[in-house]
Amino acid sequence: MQNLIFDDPMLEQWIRGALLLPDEQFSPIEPLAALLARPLTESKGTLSVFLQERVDPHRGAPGVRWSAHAGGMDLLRAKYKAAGLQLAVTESVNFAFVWAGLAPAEDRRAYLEELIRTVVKTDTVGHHWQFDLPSQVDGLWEFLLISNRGAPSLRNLESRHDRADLMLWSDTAYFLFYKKVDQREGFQREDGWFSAAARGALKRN
Amino acid sequence: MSDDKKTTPPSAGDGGSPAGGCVVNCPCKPMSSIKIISVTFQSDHDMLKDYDTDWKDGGARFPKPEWTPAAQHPVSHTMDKAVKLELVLEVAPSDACPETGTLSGVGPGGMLFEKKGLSFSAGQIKVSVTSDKPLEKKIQELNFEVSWKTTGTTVPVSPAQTSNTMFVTMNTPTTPAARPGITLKRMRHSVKGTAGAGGLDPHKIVEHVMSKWSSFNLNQVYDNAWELADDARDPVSGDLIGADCQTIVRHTEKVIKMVGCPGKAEFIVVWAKVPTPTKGEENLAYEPNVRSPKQWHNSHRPPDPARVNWRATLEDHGGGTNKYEACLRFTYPDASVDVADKKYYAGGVGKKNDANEVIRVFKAMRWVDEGTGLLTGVIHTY
Repeated sequence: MQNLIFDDPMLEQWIRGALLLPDEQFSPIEPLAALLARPLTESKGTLSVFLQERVDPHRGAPGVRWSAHAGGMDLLRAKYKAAGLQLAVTESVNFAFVWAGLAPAEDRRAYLEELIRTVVKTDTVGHHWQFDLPSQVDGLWEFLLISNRGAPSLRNLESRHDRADLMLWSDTAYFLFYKKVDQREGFQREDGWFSAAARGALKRN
Repeated sequence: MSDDKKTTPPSAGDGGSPAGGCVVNCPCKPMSSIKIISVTFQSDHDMLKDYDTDWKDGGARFPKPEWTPAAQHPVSHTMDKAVKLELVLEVAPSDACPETGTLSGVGPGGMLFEKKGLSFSAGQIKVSVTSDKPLEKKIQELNFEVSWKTTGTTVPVSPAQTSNTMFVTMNTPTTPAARPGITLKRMRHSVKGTAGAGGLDPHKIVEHVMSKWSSFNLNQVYDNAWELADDARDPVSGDLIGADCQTIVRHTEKVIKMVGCPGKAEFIVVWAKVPTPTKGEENLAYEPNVRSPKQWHNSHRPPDPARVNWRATLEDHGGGTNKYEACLRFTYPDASVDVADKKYYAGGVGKKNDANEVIRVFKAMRWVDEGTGLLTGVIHTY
């Protein structure tokens, strides 16, 4: 188990540059649906690898509000309610981060175990993820990053199936998934997911 | 239809008899109808499920009989095999005089079903018939329509036609263990996707299926590879969005198994070694590859302390660095070791005959500084 406060510069950049980007920096996608069709389709495929269907914004979840941002990173964001949870997915070409809401004051371990079952596809053709929850989850959450058992560092990630993280930060739970392309060395350019036309339209908004 | 048969007229009533008079040894009545109640396929695969909503497994097997006046269900059947049917006929009235005749039916391609010397007796009768010739050797979605008639009976059989959708395959459908389910939606897609190959050579079928995608989209994966069949398109360019090689391989494997096409589809990686950059190394995904184990500059060139972190990588024409080229390797016959029986499909470059052709999809083999991630020297330009 790692207990890092952004010890990984790439993860820190992603957290600060994407996950923490306020909603006001995003634009509704409806006017740009055609320009964003490709990344949305790619999101649909990729999230099916990580998320249980009933919390998947492309499948089981109703009333999803999609928005997009083009800046240093090309980002999609989905906000919705599903399976009794308030959820938000922030996604780039390299990652998908899921905000899963504030934890209750009591029974946090049981809450997390149920949350993992509800949100994460822990068993697929490509991966079998197990999370060992340390004793710190029973108390207040300042910052805790819990990777699946046997996960490599981000630098040594080979595939999207190698690693998923449960991040506990200020009493809030997040799931971090990494869309590492097996064939490629390293991750991809963050500003290369959307087309030039989509980026231009988003920047004008 | 033959001449009217003689029937014994009813005997006179005795006052104490039911309406109509006769209660014992009653004479039979003229036949009024011969109806087809049901048709059951007995030579089909009996595996097809009625799920047609999406690409998941679901639903239940279509019930037998597959044809009734109320409902007609699709079937799947192996090509080049005779079709065996069981009909249930109902002869009316319940006291109809029995007649002897022939039931015959003409199906697709003129195949003939016939039962001679059939006793059409009152009530329900079961008749098994087998076609005189096999189904055409062709993968297709066939309207299996049979035109029925009787000879030697006083009334014709009705209806005069029965019809079912028949998915004709090369052999019995199978599925990978991890993704079971022979559903209507999957079968329809697979027959359509493979029928267009215009032949039964497994290599040609795979080539046809793979030709749909002009490149691999490394950003797109599907947990359920069947979903690739939705053919999602970019509305701006009109191009298929596609998927990565592993998804396409898994999808292709499912499609060809669904139509019983023989051959082995494998997801492999092609890469090269520094001493022999033009020789495509091939193995099942994912390792070894150009980066695993790492091929260090100082292990292959005169050692240079300034290059201690340099190792080999494969540069593509977009400037990206790669560990390998993912590839579909299709072998038919399955167990063949003859190189001529293997074909390779890499992203967007069509069919290749061997791994040496595949490796040439790259721009160059180069050194990359592992510390900075920057490309440095060139080992070989393809």
